[in-house]
Amino acid sequence: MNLNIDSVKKRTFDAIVVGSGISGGWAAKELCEKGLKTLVLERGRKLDHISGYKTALMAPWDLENRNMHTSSDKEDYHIQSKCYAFNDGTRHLFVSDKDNPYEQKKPFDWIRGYHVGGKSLMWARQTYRWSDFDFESNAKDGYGADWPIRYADIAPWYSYVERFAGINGNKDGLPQIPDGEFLPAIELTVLEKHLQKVIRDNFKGMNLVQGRSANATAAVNGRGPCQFRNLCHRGCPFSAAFASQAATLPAAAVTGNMTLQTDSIVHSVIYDENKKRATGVRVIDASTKEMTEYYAKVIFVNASTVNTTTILLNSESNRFPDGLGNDSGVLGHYLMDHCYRGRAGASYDGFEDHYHKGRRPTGFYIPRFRNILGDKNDNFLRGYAIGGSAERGAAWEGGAWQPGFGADFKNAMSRPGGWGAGFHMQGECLPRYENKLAINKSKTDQYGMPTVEFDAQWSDNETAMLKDGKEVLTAILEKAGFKNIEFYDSNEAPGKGIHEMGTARMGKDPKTSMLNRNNQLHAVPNVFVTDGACMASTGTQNPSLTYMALTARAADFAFKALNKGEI
Amino acid sequence: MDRRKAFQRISLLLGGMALAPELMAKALADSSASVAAAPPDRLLLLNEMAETIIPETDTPGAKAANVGEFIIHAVETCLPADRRRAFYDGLDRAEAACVSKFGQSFAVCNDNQKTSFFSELEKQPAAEAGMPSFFTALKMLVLHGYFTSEIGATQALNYDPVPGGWVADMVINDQTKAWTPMF
Repeated sequence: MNLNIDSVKKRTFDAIVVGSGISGGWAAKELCEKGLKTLVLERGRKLDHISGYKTALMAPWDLENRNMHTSSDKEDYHIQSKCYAFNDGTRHLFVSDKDNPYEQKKPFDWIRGYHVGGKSLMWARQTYRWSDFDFESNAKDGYGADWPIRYADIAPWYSYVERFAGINGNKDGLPQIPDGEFLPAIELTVLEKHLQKVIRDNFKGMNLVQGRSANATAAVNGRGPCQFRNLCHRGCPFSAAFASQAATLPAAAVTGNMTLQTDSIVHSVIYDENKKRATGVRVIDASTKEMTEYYAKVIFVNASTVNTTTILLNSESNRFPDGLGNDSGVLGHYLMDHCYRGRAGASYDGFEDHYHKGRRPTGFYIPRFRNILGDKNDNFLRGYAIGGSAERGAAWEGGAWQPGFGADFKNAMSRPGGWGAGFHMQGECLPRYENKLAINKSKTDQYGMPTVEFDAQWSDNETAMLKDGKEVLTAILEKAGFKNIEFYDSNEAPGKGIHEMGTARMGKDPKTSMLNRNNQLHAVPNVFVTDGACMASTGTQNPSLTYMALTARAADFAFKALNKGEI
Repeated sequence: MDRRKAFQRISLLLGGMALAPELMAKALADSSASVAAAPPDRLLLLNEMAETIIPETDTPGAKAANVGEFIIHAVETCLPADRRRAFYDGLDRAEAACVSKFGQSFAVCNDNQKTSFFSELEKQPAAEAGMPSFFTALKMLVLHGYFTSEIGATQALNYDPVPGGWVADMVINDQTKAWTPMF
C-alpha cells in the first residue's frame, strides 16, 4: 500500500505538457519558470540539442545519396518524402509512413517528426504576426466561429515570445503583418530589390518585404548568431535557428522543475466526474506498450493539431462519450491548411556581374493584399500571401539541358547560374465543418492507439485564388522584365502545407467551439490546447509565432487561475 | 528555393523524386525485381564517359572524383526499376554503337574518338517521349556526382561551409566560381 502511494506520488506533478514541439516547448518553459513542477511527455525519441544533430556538419559528399531521394523512400516515406525539407540530411527526423499508417478518405499529407522538439526542428521558421484582418475574418464573412480574441489581446504576447525566440525582420509598417521585436533584417538580393521597386511603383496595395524568420541574426539569450549555412532543418549547431531543444526546453530545464520523458505516447486524458476536472493522462510506453497514469492539476495538450485532437477524441468518459470537452460536436471538424498550390518560376537576364555570399535561411514575402485596405475581389473571400526568393544558383544545376561537354563546358558549369525567382502562394483556407478528421477505434496502430481518418479537401474559394494569383504574378513578372514565366498548380493535397489547423477550435460559444479565449476547454477548465488544433481560421501567415504567443498567454492565465483556486 | 526547384526538376526527369502516381505504382511493383550486379567494366566505362563530359583541366576531372561510382550508386539506389533499366539500356546501346563505329569500347577510345562519338550521341532524341535522352540523363548524373564530390565541390566550385554572414550583393567577374550548393 505504501509502495503504491509512493508510486502515485512519483507520478504526480503540478502540470503536464503533452508534446515537446513549438507549443509544448513554450508551455514547458512558461509553466516551469512560474515554479510549477512540470512533466513534459514526448511520444518520440530523445534528441539532444547539437549532439543529436548527426548530419548538421556533413558536407555534400558525406551524405549517403548526395541528397537524392532513394527508391526505398517511396515505400518507407511515401508521404513524408513529399515535404520540401525531407532529404538525405533530414530523413531521420521524419516518421516512417510504413510504421505510422493513417487513413485518407480524401488525400491528406500528414507530415510528422516524432522526437524531442517535433517539427520545431524541421520547420521553415517563417514568423509573422496576425492582425485584426485575420481575427475578424470569421465574424465578417460568417465562415467559421468568431475568434474570441483580437489583436490587442495577443499583441503583448507576440512581443514577449519574439524577444525570446529571436525573430529577424524589418519594421515594414504594414497593418496586415504588424511589426514586432526584430533582430537585424537579412538584406534582399539585387533582383529582389528590383522586384520590390516594381511592385511598389506599379501594384497598389502590394508590398514585397524580407521574409521574417526565427533565425537569430544577432545573439539572443545565448543563442546564435546565424552563420548563414541554411542547413537549419538538420538542427542548428549554432543554436541560431529556433527549435524547442535549442531554446525553450533548456530554459525549462534550468529551473529544475521540468521532467522530460520521451517514448511516452499519451493515450487519453483522465476525467474525474466528481471533481469535473481532468486529473491526469494515460501514457503508453513506446517500447513496452505498458500503460501508466500520470497526474497533475493542469494539463496542456500540445501534441500538434492532429494528435492533440486524436487524444481528446480518445478521452471518453460517461460525461464525455464523444471525446473530452466535446459538448459541441465540433471536435475533429474544421480541419484547415494553407493552400500552397499556386507556384511560379521565372528567369531574369541582367545583373550578370552581381552575386551574393552566404545562404539565407529566409527569402521575401508579399503579405496579403486582397480584400483588405480598400481592395475588393468578388471571386473569392479573404486572400493569400506570396513567398519566394530571387537568387542565382550554380550553372551546373540546370546544366544537363545545356549543349556541350568537355573543358569549356566544365568551365561554364563551374560558374554562377542565371538569376531566377520562385514564388509560392499561401492561400487562406476557409473553415468548413465537412473538412474533418476522425479516429478509427477498430483499426489500431502498433501502440494500440486508434488510427486517424482524414476527410478534407480544398473548396472552390481556395481554388479561385489560384486564377487571381496567376494573373497577379504574371503581371508583376512581365512588368519587372522576367523571362520564362511559368505558373502552375501543384495540385497538392491539404496537409502538405504542414500548417494543419483547427479541429478543436477556440470560440465565444461553447455550443460551437471547444476552447474559450484562454485556450481552456469550455467544459474542462484545467485542460488547455494551444497548438494548431485551437485555431478558428488560418489567416494567410505562417502560424507558429501565433502558437507561441497563445501558449505563453494561456500558461500565464493557467498559473493565475491555479493560484486563485479557479482550476 | 530556386535551388530546390531546380533539383526537384532534375529528380523528376530522372524519375528519382516526384513521380506521377501511376509511375509510382509501377515503380513500387517493380522494385522487388532482381537487378543484375553491375558488370565490372561498367565502372570503368562510366568513369571514362564522365571524364569526357567533365575532363581534368586546372582542376581534377570526373574520373579523379570517381563519378562512375556515384552514378552506379544513384542508379541502383535512387532510380525506380523502370528508369534504372532505361539508363542501363541506354548505356549498353551507346557502348554497342561505339564498338560498331570504332571497333572498340568507349573506355579505350582516344580523345578524338570519344569527342566525335559524344557529338553524335548528343543529337539523338530520347527513346521515350517526356523523358530525357540517355545522354541528358548521363549528364545530369555526371554533373551532380562531380559537383557534389569533395574534389568538384571544393576545387571546381567555391566551397563555403560556414559563411558566417550574408552579403546580399557582391560584384563578380567571369572567372568567379559558383558557391557550392549545400542543399
